[in-house]
Amino acid sequence: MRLVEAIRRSEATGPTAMFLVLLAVVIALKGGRYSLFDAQNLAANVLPLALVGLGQYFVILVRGIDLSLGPVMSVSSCLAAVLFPYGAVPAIAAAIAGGVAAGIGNGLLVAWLDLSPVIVTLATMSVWQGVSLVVLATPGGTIPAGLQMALTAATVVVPVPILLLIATALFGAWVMSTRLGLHLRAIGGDAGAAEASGVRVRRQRFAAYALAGTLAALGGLYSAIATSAGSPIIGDSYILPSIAAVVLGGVPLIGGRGSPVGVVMGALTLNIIGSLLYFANLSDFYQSLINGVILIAVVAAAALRSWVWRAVPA
Amino acid sequence: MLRVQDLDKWFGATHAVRDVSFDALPASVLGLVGENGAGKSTVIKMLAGVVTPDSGQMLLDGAALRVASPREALARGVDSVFQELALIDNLTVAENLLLLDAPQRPWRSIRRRAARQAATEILSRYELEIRSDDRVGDLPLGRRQMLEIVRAVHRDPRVLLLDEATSALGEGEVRWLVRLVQRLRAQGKIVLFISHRWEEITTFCDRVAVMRNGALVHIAEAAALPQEQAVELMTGHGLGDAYPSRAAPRRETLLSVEGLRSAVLRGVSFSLAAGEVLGLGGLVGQGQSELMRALFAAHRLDGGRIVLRGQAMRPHRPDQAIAAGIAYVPQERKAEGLFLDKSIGFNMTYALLDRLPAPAGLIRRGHERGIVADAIARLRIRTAGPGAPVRSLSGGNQQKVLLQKWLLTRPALLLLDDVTRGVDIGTKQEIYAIIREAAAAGTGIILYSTDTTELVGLADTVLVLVEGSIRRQLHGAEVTAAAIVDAAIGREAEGAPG
Repeated sequence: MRLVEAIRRSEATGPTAMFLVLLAVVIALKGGRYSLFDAQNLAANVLPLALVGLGQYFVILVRGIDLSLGPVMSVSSCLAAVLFPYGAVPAIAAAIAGGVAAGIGNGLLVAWLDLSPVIVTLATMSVWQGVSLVVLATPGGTIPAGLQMALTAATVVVPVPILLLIATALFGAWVMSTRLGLHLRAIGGDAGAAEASGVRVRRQRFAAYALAGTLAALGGLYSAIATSAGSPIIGDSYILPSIAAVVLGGVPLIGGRGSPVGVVMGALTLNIIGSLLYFANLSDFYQSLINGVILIAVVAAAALRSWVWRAVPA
Repeated sequence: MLRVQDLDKWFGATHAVRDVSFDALPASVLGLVGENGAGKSTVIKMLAGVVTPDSGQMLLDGAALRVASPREALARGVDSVFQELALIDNLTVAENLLLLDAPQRPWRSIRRRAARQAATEILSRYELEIRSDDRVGDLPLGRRQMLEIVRAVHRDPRVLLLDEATSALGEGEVRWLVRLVQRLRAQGKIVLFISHRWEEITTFCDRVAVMRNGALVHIAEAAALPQEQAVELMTGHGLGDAYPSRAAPRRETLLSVEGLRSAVLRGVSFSLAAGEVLGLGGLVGQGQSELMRALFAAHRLDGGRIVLRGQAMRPHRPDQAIAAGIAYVPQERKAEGLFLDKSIGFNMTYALLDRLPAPAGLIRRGHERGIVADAIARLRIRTAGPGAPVRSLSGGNQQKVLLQKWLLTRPALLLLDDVTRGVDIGTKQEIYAIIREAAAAGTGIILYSTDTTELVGLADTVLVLVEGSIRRQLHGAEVTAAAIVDAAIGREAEGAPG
C-alpha cells in the first residue's frame, strides 16, 4: 500500500508511464523483438540529452532558463577531441572545466547581477558557439578507441550506458534530496519568501547555473567519446530538446516543482519519438520539426490543465 | 535590552522614519501603533535586516546590531513575522519549518521521516492543528500565519518582531497567540508587536509606542494610555464617531439568493435591499469569502439561484459579473486587483475606460485626469501625485485606490472581502465613510470582516456563517459583538429561538 501511495504521489510517475507506453509501441513495431543491445543503444543515444536536460531542469526549477547549454556541450566536445592526443586526463579535465566556467559565467550574470536569463544565455549561447568553432573548425579530432569501447560497451551484466543513465537519474534525485534541492524548489516557488526565510537565494541560484554548465559539459564529453569525434555544432541540436525533455518530464516552466527522474524519462521519451519517426518512414529532418511541435503541445497541455483547474476550484 | 537610537530613513522624497529612539525591555511586549505610513513597519524592517537605516544605530544587549539581510538578523537572534507572509506555498509544512536546518544523512540527503516527525512535534508543542505534510498553499490564511509565527518562535529568537501578525487570525487564533506571547514574555524574550486592533494592543502589550509621520510621539505603559488618547496621538485629531451614521436601507430588493451550494457552501439563502450593508461574520474560513466569490463567478457553484435586480443570473466569468453590476474587492489586494507598478490614475480608471466619453475612440486625457484628481482629494490618498506608482503607497492607501477603482464603475452590488485587514484606524474611518456613502447612493454592499466590531459598526444585517451555512441572521439592534461571537462559536444568544 505504501508503495502504491508513493507511486501515486511521485512526480516521476506520469513521465515514466509515458515512456513505457511509447517503448511498448516501439517493441510492438519491431515485432516483439527487443534485445539488451537495443536498450544499450537507446541509453547511449539518450545519455547526452539526459545529462544536459538534468542541467536545464535545475535552472528551470529556479524559474530560469539556459539557452547556452547546447553550445557548452559543443565546447566540451571540441576541447576533448583536440586535447586527447595529449592524454585523457587533460582532455577530460579541460572539457569539464569549460562547462564549469560557462555555468559560473551564466550564474554570475543571472544570480548576482540580476540580468534576464533569456538574454544572458542567448548571448553566451552565441559566445560558446564561436568558441567551439575556434577550438575545432570542423568535426573530427581524435578520441581513443579504448575509451569509446569502455563507455559504450556491454560489459558485465548491465551495459555501461544503461548504468551511466541510471547514475544520472540517481545524481539528480540525490541533489533534490539535499537542502540545496529543497532551496531550489523554494526559490522557484517564491524567491522573495525564500529570501525572507533565510535561504541564500543568490548563492543557490548561482549553484543551479554552475551545476547546469557542468552537466552539459559531461553530456558533450560523452557524445564526443561515443561518436569518437568532437563537433563544434553538436550542441546546437540540444538547445531546444534540453528544454523539451524537462517539460516532457512534467516540470512546469515556472519552476518550483518536478522530479529529476521525470526529466530523464522525458529525455528517453523524446528519443523514442525519434525512433518512431524511423518506423513511420520519415526522414531525420523531421526531428527538429517534431521537437518544436512537442514542446508547444506539452506547454499548451499544461496551460490547459491549469486553466481547467482554475475554472473548477477544489 | 534592544535599544534603538536616532534611527532615520528616507525613501526618495519621503522621510519615512525621523530620529526614532526607544528601548524594548526583556520579558516585555512593546506595541508600536500609528496610522499606515507612520513608519512602524519601516522601523521593524530595519531591525529585521530588510531595510538599512540611513543613520542612527540599533543595539542588542549592548552590542551594535548591524544587519544587512534577514539571514544576518536571524543569526543575531532577531526573528520576524510580517503581514506579507514569508512561507513558500509549494512546499510542505515540514519543509517550510525546517527549510534551513532539516536533519541530514552523512551524504547530505535530508532525513525526510525524521524531518516530518520533528515538524509534527513542533506543531503539537505549539498546539497548531495542521499536518506536517500538508502543502502550505492549501492551508487557509489564518493557519499559514500561525505556522509562520510558530516557525519564528521555534527558532528561539532573542527578539521577536510581529508586524500585523494577527491580521488574518480569527478570535480563537488570537487567543492562541496571546498564550504564546505570554510564554515568550515569561522566558524573558523581547517582543515588538504591531497591530491596528486596539483591543489586541491592550491584550498583548506592556508598553505602547505611538508613531506619527515617521516620528515617535509618545511612549507609555499600555494601561496608562486610553484608546481615545492613543488615537488622538496617532492621527493628530480625536476619535470622534468611529463609524459613520447610517441611512435607512431602501425597500426594494436588490439581490436575492437561494440555496447556494458548492464545495464549501451548503445551501445559503438571503436577500439584500438596495442601500443595505450586509455583514458576514463567523470564524475565519467558514465560507464567507467563497460566498462573495461565488456571486462574482470566481468560485464554482453546484447549485442555487441568484436574482439581481429582478433578473436571474448565472455568471460564469468575473467579466460577466462586472457587466451585471457586481464589484468585488478581494482580501489579498496585492495578488488581485492592482497593477503595483502602474500609476494611481491608471489603476483607478482602467476598469472604467469603456464608459468614459471617447470621441473617435480616443479618451480625453483631461477628463480622465479630472476624475482621478477628484478621487485622490476626496479619499485623502496620501501620495506624491496621480502619476506615482501604486507600489509607492502604504497598504491602506492602496486599498483606497482599489476601492475607488470599483466605485467609479457605479456597481449595483459591492462585495468587500475583509478590505480593512491591516489598515490603520484613520484610514479605516475613511474607508467606512466611503462604504456608507456608496450605500446611501443605493449600492447594495456585502461586507466580510474578521473584525467583529467593524461588522457591528457598519452592517444593517449580519449573517453568521458556520461551516458554509448561515447559523444566525441578526437585524438592526440584534447586531452586537456578543451575539455575533456567540453564534460563531456555537452558542445561541440569550433569548434566541433554539
